[in-house]
Amino acid sequence: MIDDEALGDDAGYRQEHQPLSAKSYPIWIIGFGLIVLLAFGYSSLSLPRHVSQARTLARADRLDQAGDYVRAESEYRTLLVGDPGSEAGRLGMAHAIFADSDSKNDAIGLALLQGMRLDKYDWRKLQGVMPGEYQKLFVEQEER
Amino acid sequence: MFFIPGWLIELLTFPGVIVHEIGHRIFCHLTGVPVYQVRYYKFWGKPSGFVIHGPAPSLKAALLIAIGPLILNTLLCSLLTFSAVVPLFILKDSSTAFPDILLMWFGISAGMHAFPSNHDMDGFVEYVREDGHGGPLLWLAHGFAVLLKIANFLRVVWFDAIYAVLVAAFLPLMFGLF
Repeated sequence: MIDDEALGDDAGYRQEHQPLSAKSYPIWIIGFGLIVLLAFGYSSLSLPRHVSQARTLARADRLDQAGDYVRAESEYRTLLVGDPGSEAGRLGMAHAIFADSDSKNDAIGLALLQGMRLDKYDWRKLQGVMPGEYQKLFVEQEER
Repeated sequence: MFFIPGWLIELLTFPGVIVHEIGHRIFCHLTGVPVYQVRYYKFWGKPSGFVIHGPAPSLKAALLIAIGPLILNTLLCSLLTFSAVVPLFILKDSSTAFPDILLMWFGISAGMHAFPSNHDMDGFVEYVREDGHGGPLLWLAHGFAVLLKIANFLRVVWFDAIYAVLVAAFLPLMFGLF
């Protein structure tokens, strides 16, 4: 019987070939498996930290959505201290800063967005709270 | 909707093809079925991968060999992508490390090749019929085979990729990270 994946029971074939040992894998398969295992090990080392940061982000996003911007900023700050490269954290923090009643920190919100590419969804989220003069900066960059 | 030739998808996701064949092979060994030859992956190969094995001794063995890739590829997709999904798609970390990208590629590739092929399922249904099973068991085998054939057919609309993404999202959802 010839299948395209599991070529099944072929009596003639079986007479000519010895069964493979359960442990006999080609060296390139073993090498490839080792690379994946190493990558998994490396990535797993940072997993507990990443999971904790993702939970902090989820908590901050919930507070931000609920309008509790002061506590949201505190959670985003905790996240960004541990992972300053988190664009989701920077975006959320910028949103909370723009949305809160204290406008003197707005420049920090703008600085957090520096170097980031915002998609339509993120832009729409920010547009509602971002000061008009900052929005012009983004429009100008887009038009260039 | 855009179409990419099947051979190109297989090339880009070749780790999944390798894991698929290893899935068949592992379950052959676990059920005591001798394995005679394995092609893990061959570019332009028709087929690109296969396993030649002896006859299954029982219905359970036939089923496990047929769905071995569904179990192994799905498990690997879920586990390998988990540690990569968090920095890449939840935190959107701009300093993402190469191992995370490698794991994401490997995991999604595995998920995309999780479905047993139509021939795998035909072989299983044939086993059920030849073994003298009839009635509900044969209908169940047919039903299962039809479901997987539909899944294979829907690959033209990226169902295999959608499945891989859903599997990759499963653990982060379970941990309440989204």
